[in-house]
Amino acid sequence: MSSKDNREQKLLLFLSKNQDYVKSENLTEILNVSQKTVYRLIKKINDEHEEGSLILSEKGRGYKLDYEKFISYQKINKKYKENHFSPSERRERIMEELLLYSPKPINIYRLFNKYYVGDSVIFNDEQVMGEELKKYDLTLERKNKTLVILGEEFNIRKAIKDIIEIFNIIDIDDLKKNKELNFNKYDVLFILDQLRNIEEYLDITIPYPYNVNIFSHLYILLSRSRKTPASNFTDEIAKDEIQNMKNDSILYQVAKVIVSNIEKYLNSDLPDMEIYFLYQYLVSSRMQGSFVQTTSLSSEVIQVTKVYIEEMSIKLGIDIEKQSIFIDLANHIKPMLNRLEHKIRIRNNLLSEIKTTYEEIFVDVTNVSKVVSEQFNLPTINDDENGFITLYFAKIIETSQHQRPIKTLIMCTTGIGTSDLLKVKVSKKFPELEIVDVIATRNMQMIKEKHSDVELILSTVHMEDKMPNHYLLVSALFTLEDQKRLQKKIEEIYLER
Amino acid sequence: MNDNSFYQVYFNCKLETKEEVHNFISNIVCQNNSSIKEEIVNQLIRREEAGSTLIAEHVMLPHIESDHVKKSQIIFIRLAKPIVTWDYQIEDICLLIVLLLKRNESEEIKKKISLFTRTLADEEYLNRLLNSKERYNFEQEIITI
Repeated sequence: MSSKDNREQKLLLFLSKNQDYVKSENLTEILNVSQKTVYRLIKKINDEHEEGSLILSEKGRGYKLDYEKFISYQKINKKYKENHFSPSERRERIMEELLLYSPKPINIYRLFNKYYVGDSVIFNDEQVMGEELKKYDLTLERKNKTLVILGEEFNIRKAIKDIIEIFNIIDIDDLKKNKELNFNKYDVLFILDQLRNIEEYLDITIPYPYNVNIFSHLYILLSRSRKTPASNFTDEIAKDEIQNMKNDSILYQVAKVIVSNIEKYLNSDLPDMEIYFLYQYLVSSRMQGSFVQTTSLSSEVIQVTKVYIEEMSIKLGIDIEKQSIFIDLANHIKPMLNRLEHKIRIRNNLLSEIKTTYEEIFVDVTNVSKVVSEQFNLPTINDDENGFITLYFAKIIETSQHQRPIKTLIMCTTGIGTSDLLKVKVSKKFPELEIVDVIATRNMQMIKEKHSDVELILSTVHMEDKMPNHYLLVSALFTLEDQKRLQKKIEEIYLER
Repeated sequence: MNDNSFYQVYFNCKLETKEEVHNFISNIVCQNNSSIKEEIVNQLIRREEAGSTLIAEHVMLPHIESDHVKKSQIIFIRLAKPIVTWDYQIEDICLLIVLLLKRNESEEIKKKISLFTRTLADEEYLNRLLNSKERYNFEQEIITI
């Protein structure tokens, strides 16, 4: 992405975060460009947008995003533009073809024919692609006017998955209907069926983006198997790795069944390696359901999770109630460690949004990740993963779970009439309140003796005496008005802390 | 309704003002001593002055704790016709659920009452009570608490 595109993206993201008008001075600051550039940028965005201005402006107030248009704009933007390829798009498509056919060589003329480019461009593309493929331990070789990509099957699949952009934007629920994605419809239905099988066997659900990841893996497996006979695979898998997989009997069985289903579907045999590949994807996916709770967490997972929670709580300066996040995060960390070990990468489509919305948390998480990598001798934890982890901590901040509950006392004349009723209504609507007791007004003395730590008193009866704590008179109806006032009171208490 | 005397239902009561309701309640507590009756009425009035006992539209929950209450009870008063003006703020009352609590009541009974009050947080339940046109249906709702 060029820096210009980047600016546009940044500008739109920033505006989408702000509900109200944003002054152009703020925009120049954020984008680090002149006022004129901001003006031009906005004009360009608005001009390119066919259905009227995407960014509204008002004198003296600044700029604001037309949110509805923005959302539909994003959808349109994802659509594929046909018949026009930039150099990088051309290289991607050629690489895609080479990867799918690897290790079969393809004639250069056939490859580049439809792009109408000369020899020097082809030569240059070769260099660029070669560099790109190095990241995956793959080599691009030129032999007798043909090109071929060579390397281990596992790395080839990884490259396919990263390079073919379509796998990063699909939405599983959308797959069956979406005609713009150029997938083989039968394959899609078959694979979705297999995904459902996996979920049924394990009695779990596989959440986004892990479902997309497994889908992509299986789709690539189908395409590769049709184009290349299995005997060409050169991968060797260590014996103890295989043994580890066989010990994990539940997932191993599932992987076996699915691969055998695929063999039937393709009407050809697949090497055992496929079971191992699929197994790796299963272990590296986060699953939700009963199966998960029964599998225990290794000490490494527990340690890593602890480091994240402890370090983040220091960096963010908040108390993190361990229980509230530990299991959730540990269930994320467990497959993540697996992904790191087996170099499985999950694209985080929300990454740029996460980076802008939770900038500080993201930076903190990235730093903690470095510490974790060193301490536990792990490969570098990439930004996609850091983005996911950021969300766990952002959630704590957003739901203000880090605030300890406000100890609250509820009162009325008898202590069992309207106050009891209020207790139920309040605890339903305000989980941040911990209702320690319901008492009668004549037992006011108890407050000092038994409940000296109470921070808030809610009462359905008017109190003559001055209250030592925060005090709010509410009606037994607990009307919307009451709820608003209570919300205000809660914010006051949080502020005082 | 495990214990019949614990819950009491007065269906289609022809009471037309707040004062009549108060008198009606004081009569349940004590039938023949007018000074006690007066004290009960005063207690009810004071409670209302301290804070409204309206718990939902059309429903009030008057409650007192008193030495004169011999046995704690929950009393349902379903009015024949709504009381349009209860006081200057509260209108259109159809149902009163009265909690009469004996002073120094046992924890067990207090818990029972407290459990009952909590069910009143369920608006659906209150609506069913309000919409039961027949005594039988109304009582069925209470039995199934």
